[in-house]
Amino acid sequence: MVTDWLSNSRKLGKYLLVLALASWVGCGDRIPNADQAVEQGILLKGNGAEPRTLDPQKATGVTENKVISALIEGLVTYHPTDDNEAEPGVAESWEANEDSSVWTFHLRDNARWSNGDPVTAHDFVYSYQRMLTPELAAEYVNMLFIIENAEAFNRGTVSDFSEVGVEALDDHTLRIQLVGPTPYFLGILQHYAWSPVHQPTIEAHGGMTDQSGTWTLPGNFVGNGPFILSEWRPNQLLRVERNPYYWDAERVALNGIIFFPISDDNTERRMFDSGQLHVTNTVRSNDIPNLRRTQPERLRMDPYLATYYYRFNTTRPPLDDVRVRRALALAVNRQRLVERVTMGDQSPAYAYVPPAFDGYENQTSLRHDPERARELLAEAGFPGGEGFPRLNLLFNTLEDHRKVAEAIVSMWNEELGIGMQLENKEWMVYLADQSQLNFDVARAGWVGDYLDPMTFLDMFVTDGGNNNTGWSNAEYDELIQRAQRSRTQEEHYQLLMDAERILMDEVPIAPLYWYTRIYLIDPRVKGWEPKALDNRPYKYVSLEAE
Amino acid sequence: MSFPKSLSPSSKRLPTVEIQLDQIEEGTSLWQDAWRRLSSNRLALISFWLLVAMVLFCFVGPLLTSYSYRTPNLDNALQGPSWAHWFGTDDLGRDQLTRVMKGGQISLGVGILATTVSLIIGVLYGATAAYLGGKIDNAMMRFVDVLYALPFTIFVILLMTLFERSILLLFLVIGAVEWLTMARIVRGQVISLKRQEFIEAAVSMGLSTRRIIVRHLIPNVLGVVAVYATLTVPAVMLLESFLSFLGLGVQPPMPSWGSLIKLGADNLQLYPYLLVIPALFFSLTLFCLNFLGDGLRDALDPQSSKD
Amino acid sequence: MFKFILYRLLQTLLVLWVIVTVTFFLVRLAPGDPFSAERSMPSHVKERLMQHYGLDQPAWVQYGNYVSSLLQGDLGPSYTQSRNVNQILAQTFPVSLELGAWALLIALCIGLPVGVVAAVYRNTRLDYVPMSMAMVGICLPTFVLGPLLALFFGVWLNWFNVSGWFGPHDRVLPALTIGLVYAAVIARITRGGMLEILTRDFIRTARAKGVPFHTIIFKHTLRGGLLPVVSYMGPALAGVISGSFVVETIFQIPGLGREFVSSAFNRDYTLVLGTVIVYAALITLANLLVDIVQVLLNPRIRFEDS
Repeated sequence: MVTDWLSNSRKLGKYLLVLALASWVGCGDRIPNADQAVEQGILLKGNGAEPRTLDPQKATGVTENKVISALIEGLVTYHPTDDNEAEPGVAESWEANEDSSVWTFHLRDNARWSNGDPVTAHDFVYSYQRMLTPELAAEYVNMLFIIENAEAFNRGTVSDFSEVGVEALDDHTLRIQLVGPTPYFLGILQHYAWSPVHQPTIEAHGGMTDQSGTWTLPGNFVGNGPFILSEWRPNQLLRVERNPYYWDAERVALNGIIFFPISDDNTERRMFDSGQLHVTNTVRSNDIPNLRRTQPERLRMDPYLATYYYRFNTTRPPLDDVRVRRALALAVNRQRLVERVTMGDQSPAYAYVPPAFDGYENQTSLRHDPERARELLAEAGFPGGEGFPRLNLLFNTLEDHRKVAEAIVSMWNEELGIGMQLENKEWMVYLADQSQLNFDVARAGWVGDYLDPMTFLDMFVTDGGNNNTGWSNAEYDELIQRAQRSRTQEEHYQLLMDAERILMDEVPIAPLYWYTRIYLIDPRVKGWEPKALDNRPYKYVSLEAE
Repeated sequence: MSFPKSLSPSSKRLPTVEIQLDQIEEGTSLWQDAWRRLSSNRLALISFWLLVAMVLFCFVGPLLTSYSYRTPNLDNALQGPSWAHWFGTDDLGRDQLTRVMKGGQISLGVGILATTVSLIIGVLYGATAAYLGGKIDNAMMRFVDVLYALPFTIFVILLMTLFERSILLLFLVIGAVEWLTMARIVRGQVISLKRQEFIEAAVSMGLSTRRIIVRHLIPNVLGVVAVYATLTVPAVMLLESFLSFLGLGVQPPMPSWGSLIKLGADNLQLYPYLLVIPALFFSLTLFCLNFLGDGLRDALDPQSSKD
Repeated sequence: MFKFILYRLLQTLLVLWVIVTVTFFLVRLAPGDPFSAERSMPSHVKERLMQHYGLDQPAWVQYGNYVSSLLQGDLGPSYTQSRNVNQILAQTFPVSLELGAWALLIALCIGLPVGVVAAVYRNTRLDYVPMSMAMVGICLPTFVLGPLLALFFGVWLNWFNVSGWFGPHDRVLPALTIGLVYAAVIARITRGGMLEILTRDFIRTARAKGVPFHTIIFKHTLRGGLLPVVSYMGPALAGVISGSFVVETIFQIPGLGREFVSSAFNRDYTLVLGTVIVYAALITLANLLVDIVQVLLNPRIRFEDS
């Protein structure tokens, strides 16, 4: 009996061997290592999580955008070095009327889709119509709401798309009528929500409102960017290669890019160390001190348009008292936090908007002042922390958040004599708790969608979808509204600065630090410049053997 | 449950069975016997005292160190072992020795209590199912199949939102998960036992089902149970750190060996001491439990009494 | 026996139905939904999305729709991926199956002989040394062993890629990671089970009668001694071939284990159900297999018992 069984298991072994061999034939091609890839001109990039979709109008994340921006090019695109400049994309020139409310784009006539079709102004009209069609249910649709009548069309109150302020004057001229003056429109226009999509491809795979994303699969995907999608193996890799039809194909230095979705930071580090990657997505904070010493030429820490902050639930006592919130915000030693806990050259944030905009000065009354913090807490009725209830600090489970939270809770304990209970939760529960105001203090982070302070400040308007603090201030709301309609950049910034001052006086949030993008890069990668949103045109990136 | 009519209680045809029955029926002498045999097993005895020492280390130790397990000392982060910090410091500069001791409180507690919970449920359930047999057994085991397959993560997340965070819930959840395999193993053993003569004899003597299961069947599977229980302890300790990840269970700054080992594994390359030291304590405990388990197995085995 | 198997297969369907039903409502009770995100979308867009997927209907209507398409073999769209659930399962399950098969091969080839030898040479060096190593294996969770192997054989020795699932050599490290841990457990259980039999009277009698050693082991002891291993193998088998989240994440393997866990975190309802159905089918079939093997190994048990 047992011997039977043993011989059967031998047979099983043989079968497994055959099975394994068969499966290897299926995926026998080799992935180049970093050295081979340099010779072949292929960039190997760690890209965080697996992209959920490559449809620019359904995409919602940074990960997706890293791939999409290689495949699709908008009217204007990312500048290789300067964050305050827009690089011409499909549009070779543009002009706005005097109050920046009507923009006219002149499309280059050599722009082509990856199947050879010309890219025309009609493609953009179709794309914006698709984005705004209610049935598509595009999550980032409100990026387009600055177009005249766009919101009405999306909400269904206007049904004729010709009433929406997008018009192809001819094949190569596109006019966009905005709801009002928008001097910062070019910054918004770089967002992938404004990407063109190829109408015949979309129509061939389920039509305008199809949710399956079939058209984005390799073989189906038609784009107009410097690269075309050649392979997508979920949870393994995503490969793009040079697009011969791209209008600026001569400038494209790389022959291809392989994006690896790597969700484990340690795996990514090992891949980099063993020569499987050129650029990583991230670096663990505990590794930074060592990397500074041993591989400074590979470690990059670029300023990033993102803020790490804590939300206060202003509907719950004692946090409904601005003095308490202020005391908590003043007691944190941010300098120590970035030097000793996050360690990645982050800047201590005493205001909300990251310092990335020429002409925008942070307005704030926050600083590190434990003395004043104790006074405020005493004024609020908790001298020396006496009688202060034990609050919860909510954060989503992640090592780096845990470290920051433990450090800050201990600072509050030391300076103010109050205790706080850490409460880590699974991501979805954390999100639900935040949106239902089911927390006392909650960790939060915000990455700008586009290059304007507005992307940070408009979220704290009364009942804003991302406010999540219960805070409301009529004057603030009005300033934001006026800033959205200001005619000049100066006026726009001034109104936003006034709004930020209110936000920092009322402290519904305590900014902690401004992020940096921390990653490892092979020195043979050239043209990889620091960018505030970490978006760079891949056509300027090259690989050079040393 | 039927048994051959010919096997009457007065039958003298099976003398070995009588001996077994005697031994099992006289419970007290069995346990005394077991203790005597256990204490003559040197390895098991050493393990026992080491475990006692470990418990003292974890529960009394924190009172003796001058460091706090919770207050960060940011200037002192990630220092290797030194005279001041024998086990080094963690990424917030806290004394790792103190944290290992404190973490042991949670892990030993969870490991032993939750294993016990799973053991009791699993053994009783498995033995009952196997002994009763037929439709009842079938239904009971299909219920186990259902529990196996339910998505555990979702289940935990739900529990977490329904109830307040508590250590009791942690024990219950872990116990609720870990008893399944135990039940299957015990059932497999009992099925092979229940057709043996001594059980049929016990039935014919008119003993109650409960008594047969508790006094006659379970003692005979304790050997296998002891082995599997020692395997459950590490699984339970590690499961605790996963539950804490989901937000159930212990919250930082309270450490556990599971979370310390996870931190160590993440920092394996640069700060190996963060992994090695908690892993050593974890392993030492499991070695001791294992040898103690083996010792118990030998001591409880009614057959080996004739050695 | 065939009647028994048929009967059990019918029960499996019932079990699957219960699991699908409970899971269906369980996932919907958990906080969040497939479209929750840190940056919240306009509420009318969210309503449209829910409407598109029929998630705005009462739960029992959704359940009816799900079951009726399930009966036609359609597991539905994934809410978070560009593939539908059928495609995801078809692409990921073979990967986990292959990895699991290798791991099992390693686990059994190491675990069984080591356990048997340790039991036979009990309390000698042949027992202590391999059993202590097995204990080390048990104390090393996969999230420690995997990175250790990757670091040692991948980064330092450069024998294997540290991650990926492309060529034959990419199977080695992940299969070892899972296989060694299970080998340790199997060795321990095998030893325990074997000892249980080896101390029985009939073995002593056989020995005393001079029955050859290998006959005692192969003919008399293995059958009963392997019983606990067989019981353990049911859930283990299902667990191993349905994939390991930890190992698949560490080694970048596109397997089912990752979908199993990440779908729960993402509240991708249909994908949760799809993975649960696969796992449930595996566990009930593996346990059926175990029950059959148990009967075959032990003539005392009859199919009516199982």
